[in-house]
Amino acid sequence: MIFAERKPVEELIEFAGRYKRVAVAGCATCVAECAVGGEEEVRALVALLGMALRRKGTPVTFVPVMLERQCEREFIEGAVETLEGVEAVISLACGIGAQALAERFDMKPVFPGVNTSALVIREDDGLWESRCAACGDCVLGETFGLCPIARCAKGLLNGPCGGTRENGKCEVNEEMDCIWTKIVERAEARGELDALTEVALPRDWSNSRHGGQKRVVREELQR
Amino acid sequence: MEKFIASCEKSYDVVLLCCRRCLLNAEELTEAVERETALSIKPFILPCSSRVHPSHLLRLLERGAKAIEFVACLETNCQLLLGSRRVERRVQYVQDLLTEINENPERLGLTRRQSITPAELVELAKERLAKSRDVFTLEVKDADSV
Repeated sequence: MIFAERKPVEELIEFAGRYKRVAVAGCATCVAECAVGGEEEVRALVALLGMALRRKGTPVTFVPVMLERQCEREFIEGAVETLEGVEAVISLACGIGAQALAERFDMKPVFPGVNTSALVIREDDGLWESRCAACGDCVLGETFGLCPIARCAKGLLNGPCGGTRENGKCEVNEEMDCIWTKIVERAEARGELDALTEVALPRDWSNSRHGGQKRVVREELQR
Repeated sequence: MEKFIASCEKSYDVVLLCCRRCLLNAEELTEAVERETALSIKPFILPCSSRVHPSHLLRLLERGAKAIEFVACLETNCQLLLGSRRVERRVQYVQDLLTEINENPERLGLTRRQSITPAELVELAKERLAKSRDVFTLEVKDADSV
Protein backbone atom coordinates (compact mmCIF):
# COMPACT_ATOMS: atom_id res chain seq x y z
CA MET A 1 0.00 0.00 0.00
CA ILE A 2 0.95 3.65 -0.28
CA PHE A 3 2.61 4.84 2.90
CA ALA A 4 2.49 8.32 4.37
CA GLU A 5 3.83 9.95 7.51
CA ARG A 6 2.50 12.72 9.70
CA LYS A 7 3.69 16.23 8.91
CA PRO A 8 4.94 18.42 11.77
CA VAL A 9 1.87 19.97 13.44
CA GLU A 10 3.47 23.41 13.19
CA GLU A 11 3.19 23.30 9.38
CA LEU A 12 -0.52 22.51 9.61
CA ILE A 13 -1.12 25.20 12.23
CA GLU A 14 0.60 27.76 10.04
CA PHE A 15 -1.61 26.82 7.09
CA ALA A 16 -4.91 26.48 8.93
CA GLY A 17 -4.34 29.71 10.88
CA ARG A 18 -4.86 31.74 7.68
CA TYR A 19 -8.52 30.72 7.44
CA LYS A 20 -11.71 30.65 9.46
CA ARG A 21 -13.19 27.37 8.24
CA VAL A 22 -11.02 24.45 7.18
CA ALA A 23 -11.90 20.87 6.25
CA VAL A 24 -9.69 18.01 7.35
CA ALA A 25 -10.22 15.32 4.73
CA GLY A 26 -9.30 11.71 5.48
CA CYS A 27 -9.13 8.74 3.18
CA ALA A 28 -10.33 5.27 4.19
CA THR A 29 -7.80 3.26 2.20
CA CYS A 30 -3.96 3.25 2.37
CA VAL A 31 -3.48 6.17 4.78
CA ALA A 32 -6.09 4.69 7.11
CA GLU A 33 -4.15 1.42 7.09
CA CYS A 34 -0.94 3.21 7.99
CA ALA A 35 -2.80 5.25 10.64
CA VAL A 36 -2.14 8.79 9.45
CA GLY A 37 -5.25 9.65 7.48
CA GLY A 38 -8.15 7.46 8.60
CA GLU A 39 -11.20 8.47 10.60
CA GLU A 40 -9.45 8.38 13.98
CA GLU A 41 -6.56 10.47 12.69
CA VAL A 42 -8.96 13.03 11.21
CA ARG A 43 -10.70 13.35 14.57
CA ALA A 44 -7.40 13.58 16.40
CA LEU A 45 -6.04 16.26 14.10
CA VAL A 46 -9.23 18.31 14.26
CA ALA A 47 -9.00 18.29 18.07
CA LEU A 48 -5.27 19.02 18.12
CA LEU A 49 -5.42 21.90 15.63
CA GLY A 50 -8.54 23.24 17.33
CA MET A 51 -6.69 23.40 20.65
CA ALA A 52 -3.55 24.88 19.14
CA LEU A 53 -5.28 27.66 17.24
CA ARG A 54 -7.61 28.54 20.09
CA ARG A 55 -4.55 28.86 22.27
CA LYS A 56 -2.99 31.21 19.71
CA GLY A 57 -6.12 33.36 19.79
CA THR A 58 -7.08 32.61 16.18
CA PRO A 59 -9.84 30.03 16.50
CA VAL A 60 -10.67 28.09 13.34
CA THR A 61 -13.69 25.91 12.69
CA PHE A 62 -12.54 22.51 11.49
CA VAL A 63 -14.85 20.29 9.48
CA PRO A 64 -13.95 16.58 9.48
CA VAL A 65 -14.63 14.80 6.20
CA MET A 66 -14.06 11.14 5.38
CA LEU A 67 -13.81 9.96 1.80
CA GLU A 68 -13.75 6.32 0.88
CA ARG A 69 -10.98 7.07 -1.62
CA GLN A 70 -9.63 10.52 -2.33
CA CYS A 71 -7.84 9.25 -5.44
CA GLU A 72 -11.13 8.41 -7.22
CA ARG A 73 -13.10 11.36 -8.56
CA GLU A 74 -16.43 9.60 -8.02
CA PHE A 75 -15.84 9.45 -4.28
CA ILE A 76 -14.88 13.12 -4.12
CA GLU A 77 -18.23 14.07 -5.62
CA GLY A 78 -19.95 12.66 -2.53
CA ALA A 79 -18.24 15.27 -0.37
CA VAL A 80 -18.58 18.26 -2.67
CA GLU A 81 -21.30 19.98 -0.66
CA THR A 82 -19.25 19.86 2.54
CA LEU A 83 -16.03 20.89 0.86
CA GLU A 84 -17.64 23.78 -0.95
CA GLY A 85 -18.55 25.21 2.45
CA VAL A 86 -14.94 25.64 3.63
CA GLU A 87 -12.20 28.08 2.71
CA ALA A 88 -9.39 25.53 2.60
CA VAL A 89 -8.70 21.82 2.96
CA ILE A 90 -6.06 19.80 4.76
CA SER A 91 -5.88 16.47 2.95
CA LEU A 92 -4.66 13.49 4.94
CA ALA A 93 -4.59 11.33 1.80
CA CYS A 94 -1.50 10.43 -0.18
CA GLY A 95 -0.19 12.85 -2.78
CA ILE A 96 -2.55 11.35 -5.35
CA GLY A 97 -5.62 11.97 -3.23
CA ALA A 98 -4.52 15.48 -2.27
CA GLN A 99 -4.01 16.32 -5.95
CA ALA A 100 -7.37 14.86 -6.92
CA LEU A 101 -9.00 17.17 -4.35
CA ALA A 102 -6.94 20.15 -5.51
CA GLU A 103 -7.98 19.43 -9.08
CA ARG A 104 -11.67 19.24 -8.18
CA PHE A 105 -11.50 22.45 -6.11
CA ASP A 106 -8.89 24.30 -8.11
CA MET A 107 -9.72 27.70 -6.58
CA LYS A 108 -9.45 26.40 -3.03
CA PRO A 109 -6.14 25.91 -1.16
CA VAL A 110 -5.54 22.20 -0.52
CA PHE A 111 -2.67 21.52 1.84
CA PRO A 112 -1.10 18.06 2.28
CA GLY A 113 -1.44 16.95 5.88
CA VAL A 114 0.96 14.04 5.40
CA ASN A 115 4.18 13.25 3.56
CA THR A 116 3.74 10.36 1.13
CA SER A 117 6.95 8.40 1.32
CA ALA A 118 6.88 4.75 0.22
CA LEU A 119 5.12 1.62 -1.01
CA VAL A 120 5.10 -0.70 1.96
CA ILE A 121 3.85 -3.85 3.58
CA ARG A 122 2.68 -3.95 7.20
CA GLU A 123 5.12 -6.23 9.01
CA ASP A 124 3.62 -5.92 12.48
CA ASP A 125 1.55 -3.52 14.59
CA GLY A 126 3.17 -0.15 14.06
CA LEU A 127 5.85 -1.48 11.72
CA TRP A 128 5.92 -1.03 7.95
CA GLU A 129 8.68 -1.85 5.48
CA SER A 130 9.02 -0.78 1.89
CA ARG A 131 8.66 -3.48 -0.72
CA CYS A 132 8.41 -1.64 -4.01
CA ALA A 133 10.02 1.44 -5.53
CA ALA A 134 7.61 1.68 -8.50
CA CYS A 135 10.71 1.58 -10.72
CA GLY A 136 8.84 0.53 -13.85
CA ASP A 137 10.93 -2.53 -14.82
CA CYS A 138 10.20 -5.27 -12.29
CA VAL A 139 13.04 -7.75 -11.66
CA LEU A 140 11.29 -9.88 -9.02
CA GLY A 141 11.26 -12.79 -11.49
CA GLU A 142 15.07 -12.87 -11.46
CA THR A 143 15.56 -12.15 -7.77
CA PHE A 144 13.38 -14.87 -6.28
CA GLY A 145 10.55 -12.52 -5.37
CA LEU A 146 12.68 -10.12 -3.29
CA CYS A 147 13.17 -6.59 -4.61
CA PRO A 148 16.76 -5.32 -4.63
CA ILE A 149 15.69 -1.89 -5.87
CA ALA A 150 13.45 -1.10 -2.90
CA ARG A 151 15.16 -3.27 -0.29
CA CYS A 152 18.90 -3.02 -0.98
CA ALA A 153 20.38 0.21 0.39
CA LYS A 154 22.48 0.45 -2.77
CA GLY A 155 19.81 -0.80 -5.18
CA LEU A 156 22.24 -3.41 -6.52
CA LEU A 157 21.17 -5.74 -9.30
CA ASN A 158 24.19 -7.98 -8.70
CA GLY A 159 24.69 -8.59 -5.00
CA PRO A 160 25.59 -9.01 -2.24
CA CYS A 161 27.92 -6.05 -2.14
CA GLY A 162 30.45 -7.53 0.27
CA GLY A 163 29.48 -5.31 3.16
CA THR A 164 26.93 -7.70 4.65
CA ARG A 165 27.31 -8.09 8.42
CA GLU A 166 27.94 -11.52 9.94
CA ASN A 167 24.37 -11.65 11.17
CA GLY A 168 23.01 -11.09 7.67
CA LYS A 169 22.15 -7.44 8.21
CA CYS A 170 22.96 -4.54 5.91
CA GLU A 171 26.14 -2.54 6.50
CA VAL A 172 24.18 0.66 5.96
CA ASN A 173 21.50 -0.11 8.54
CA GLU A 174 21.98 -2.80 11.15
CA GLU A 175 18.24 -3.19 11.63
CA MET A 176 17.71 -4.00 7.97
CA ASP A 177 18.23 -7.44 6.44
CA CYS A 178 20.70 -7.62 3.59
CA ILE A 179 18.17 -8.45 0.91
CA TRP A 180 20.83 -10.03 -1.27
CA THR A 181 21.61 -12.49 1.53
CA LYS A 182 17.91 -13.33 1.56
CA ILE A 183 17.89 -13.72 -2.22
CA VAL A 184 20.86 -16.10 -2.06
CA GLU A 185 19.27 -18.06 0.79
CA ARG A 186 16.03 -18.46 -1.12
CA ALA A 187 17.85 -19.47 -4.32
CA GLU A 188 19.84 -22.02 -2.35
CA ALA A 189 16.71 -23.42 -0.69
CA ARG A 190 15.14 -23.90 -4.11
CA GLY A 191 18.31 -25.50 -5.47
CA GLU A 192 18.65 -22.72 -8.04
CA LEU A 193 21.79 -20.97 -6.84
CA ASP A 194 23.32 -21.21 -10.30
CA ALA A 195 20.72 -18.74 -11.57
CA LEU A 196 22.51 -16.04 -9.61
CA THR A 197 25.82 -16.59 -11.35
CA GLU A 198 24.45 -14.83 -14.40
CA VAL A 199 25.34 -11.15 -14.38
CA ALA A 200 22.25 -8.96 -14.47
CA LEU A 201 22.61 -6.35 -17.18
CA PRO A 202 21.87 -2.69 -16.57
CA ARG A 203 18.14 -2.37 -16.28
CA ASP A 204 15.83 -0.21 -18.33
CA TRP A 205 15.14 2.91 -16.28
CA SER A 206 13.16 4.57 -19.06
CA ASN A 207 9.88 3.50 -17.47
CA SER A 208 10.86 4.77 -14.01
CA ARG A 209 9.72 7.87 -12.17
CA HIS A 210 12.01 10.47 -13.73
CA GLY A 211 11.35 12.28 -16.98
CA GLY A 212 8.10 13.97 -16.06
CA GLN A 213 4.59 12.79 -15.50
CA LYS A 214 3.86 9.22 -16.48
CA ARG A 215 0.89 8.81 -18.77
CA VAL A 216 -0.40 5.36 -19.58
CA VAL A 217 -2.96 4.71 -22.29
CA ARG A 218 -4.66 1.33 -22.69
CA GLU A 219 -6.93 1.50 -25.64
CA GLU A 220 -8.68 -1.77 -24.80
CA LEU A 221 -10.05 -0.14 -21.66
CA GLN A 222 -11.05 3.12 -23.26
CA ARG A 223 -14.58 4.00 -24.38
CA MET B 1 -16.17 5.79 24.54
CA GLU B 2 -17.99 7.86 21.92
CA LYS B 3 -21.02 8.27 24.19
CA PHE B 4 -18.76 9.23 27.04
CA ILE B 5 -16.97 11.91 24.99
CA ALA B 6 -20.34 13.23 23.82
CA SER B 7 -21.47 13.44 27.45
CA CYS B 8 -18.49 15.65 28.39
CA GLU B 9 -20.29 18.84 27.48
CA LYS B 10 -19.05 21.00 30.31
CA SER B 11 -15.43 21.69 31.13
CA TYR B 12 -14.41 19.22 33.78
CA ASP B 13 -11.31 19.76 35.87
CA VAL B 14 -10.25 16.16 35.46
CA VAL B 15 -11.46 13.31 33.30
CA LEU B 16 -10.58 10.11 35.10
CA LEU B 17 -10.15 7.04 32.92
CA CYS B 18 -9.64 3.77 34.73
CA CYS B 19 -9.31 0.16 33.67
CA ARG B 20 -11.92 -1.87 35.54
CA ARG B 21 -9.40 -4.62 36.15
CA CYS B 22 -7.44 -2.53 38.64
CA LEU B 23 -10.35 -0.76 40.36
CA LEU B 24 -11.57 -1.98 43.74
CA ASN B 25 -15.11 -1.22 44.95
CA ALA B 26 -16.16 0.33 41.66
CA GLU B 27 -19.67 0.85 43.01
CA GLU B 28 -18.29 3.50 45.39
CA LEU B 29 -16.67 5.57 42.64
CA THR B 30 -19.64 7.83 41.91
CA GLU B 31 -20.03 8.63 45.60
CA ALA B 32 -16.31 9.32 46.01
CA VAL B 33 -16.36 11.71 43.06
CA GLU B 34 -19.48 13.51 44.28
CA ARG B 35 -17.97 13.89 47.74
CA GLU B 36 -15.18 15.90 46.20
CA THR B 37 -16.66 19.37 45.87
CA ALA B 38 -13.44 21.33 45.28
CA LEU B 39 -13.07 20.08 41.73
CA SER B 40 -15.23 18.52 39.05
CA ILE B 41 -14.24 15.00 38.08
CA LYS B 42 -15.76 12.97 35.27
CA PRO B 43 -14.92 9.29 35.74
CA PHE B 44 -15.12 6.55 33.15
CA ILE B 45 -14.39 2.90 33.71
CA LEU B 46 -12.98 1.06 30.72
CA PRO B 47 -13.12 -2.67 30.00
CA CYS B 48 -9.41 -2.36 29.16
CA SER B 49 -7.26 0.75 29.03
CA SER B 50 -6.16 -0.11 25.49
CA ARG B 51 -9.66 0.70 24.24
CA VAL B 52 -8.65 4.34 24.21
CA HIS B 53 -7.27 5.83 21.00
CA PRO B 54 -5.19 9.03 20.89
CA SER B 55 -8.11 10.78 19.21
CA HIS B 56 -10.29 10.09 22.26
CA LEU B 57 -7.78 11.77 24.55
CA LEU B 58 -7.30 14.75 22.28
CA ARG B 59 -11.03 15.23 21.84
CA LEU B 60 -11.58 15.16 25.60
CA LEU B 61 -8.90 17.83 26.05
CA GLU B 62 -10.26 19.86 23.15
CA ARG B 63 -13.77 19.72 24.63
CA GLY B 64 -12.46 21.42 27.72
CA ALA B 65 -11.11 18.85 30.15
CA LYS B 66 -8.33 20.62 32.01
CA ALA B 67 -6.56 17.32 32.66
CA ILE B 68 -6.89 13.60 32.08
CA GLU B 69 -5.68 11.02 34.55
CA PHE B 70 -5.39 7.53 33.15
CA VAL B 71 -5.18 4.61 35.53
CA ALA B 72 -4.13 1.28 34.06
CA CYS B 73 -2.99 -2.09 35.37
CA LEU B 74 0.62 -2.94 36.00
CA GLU B 75 2.15 -4.16 32.78
CA THR B 76 2.55 -7.69 34.14
CA ASN B 77 -1.05 -7.76 35.40
CA CYS B 78 -2.82 -6.82 32.18
CA GLN B 79 -5.45 -9.47 31.51
CA LEU B 80 -5.31 -8.69 27.82
CA LEU B 81 -1.50 -8.95 28.01
CA LEU B 82 -0.70 -5.95 25.83
CA GLY B 83 -3.39 -3.46 26.84
CA SER B 84 -1.46 -1.73 29.57
CA ARG B 85 1.68 -1.47 27.45
CA ARG B 86 -0.27 -0.11 24.50
CA VAL B 87 -1.93 2.62 26.50
CA GLU B 88 1.41 3.82 27.83
CA ARG B 89 2.63 4.32 24.27
CA ARG B 90 -0.56 6.09 23.28
CA VAL B 91 -0.37 8.42 26.26
CA GLN B 92 3.25 9.20 25.38
CA TYR B 93 2.23 9.87 21.77
CA VAL B 94 -0.46 12.33 22.82
CA GLN B 95 1.90 14.00 25.30
CA ASP B 96 4.37 14.49 22.44
CA LEU B 97 1.63 16.04 20.31
CA LEU B 98 0.68 18.38 23.16
CA THR B 99 4.30 19.43 23.47
CA GLU B 100 4.36 20.12 19.72
CA ILE B 101 1.54 22.64 20.12
CA ASN B 102 3.06 24.18 23.27
CA GLU B 103 0.45 22.65 25.56
CA ASN B 104 1.55 21.26 28.91
CA PRO B 105 1.95 17.48 28.33
CA GLU B 106 1.22 16.98 32.03
CA ARG B 107 -2.42 17.69 31.26
CA LEU B 108 -2.42 13.97 30.54
CA GLY B 109 -0.87 11.35 32.74
CA LEU B 110 -0.76 7.63 33.32
CA THR B 111 -0.58 5.82 36.64
CA ARG B 112 -0.23 2.06 36.97
CA ARG B 113 -1.77 0.30 39.92
CA GLN B 114 -2.42 -3.31 40.81
CA SER B 115 -5.53 -2.30 42.75
CA ILE B 116 -6.88 1.11 43.54
CA THR B 117 -9.83 2.41 45.55
CA PRO B 118 -12.16 5.22 44.45
CA ALA B 119 -10.76 7.50 47.16
CA GLU B 120 -7.23 6.94 45.85
CA LEU B 121 -8.45 7.66 42.32
CA VAL B 122 -9.79 11.02 43.45
CA GLU B 123 -6.40 11.82 45.01
CA LEU B 124 -4.69 10.97 41.73
CA ALA B 125 -7.12 13.28 39.93
CA LYS B 126 -6.17 16.14 42.28
CA GLU B 127 -2.48 15.50 41.69
CA ARG B 128 -2.99 15.47 37.94
CA LEU B 129 -4.84 18.78 38.02
CA ALA B 130 -2.01 20.32 40.06
CA LYS B 131 0.58 19.05 37.54
CA SER B 132 -1.46 20.33 34.62
CA ARG B 133 -1.34 23.80 36.16
CA ASP B 134 2.43 23.83 36.53
CA VAL B 135 4.06 26.42 34.35
CA PHE B 136 5.14 24.65 31.21
CA THR B 137 8.17 25.82 29.30
CA LEU B 138 9.48 24.10 26.22
CA GLU B 139 13.00 22.80 26.51
CA VAL B 140 15.06 24.81 24.07
CA LYS B 141 18.20 23.10 22.84
CA ASP B 142 21.16 25.30 22.02
CA ALA B 143 22.66 24.90 18.60
CA ASP B 144 25.74 23.05 19.87
CA SER B 145 23.73 20.24 21.45
CA VAL B 146 21.66 19.49 18.34
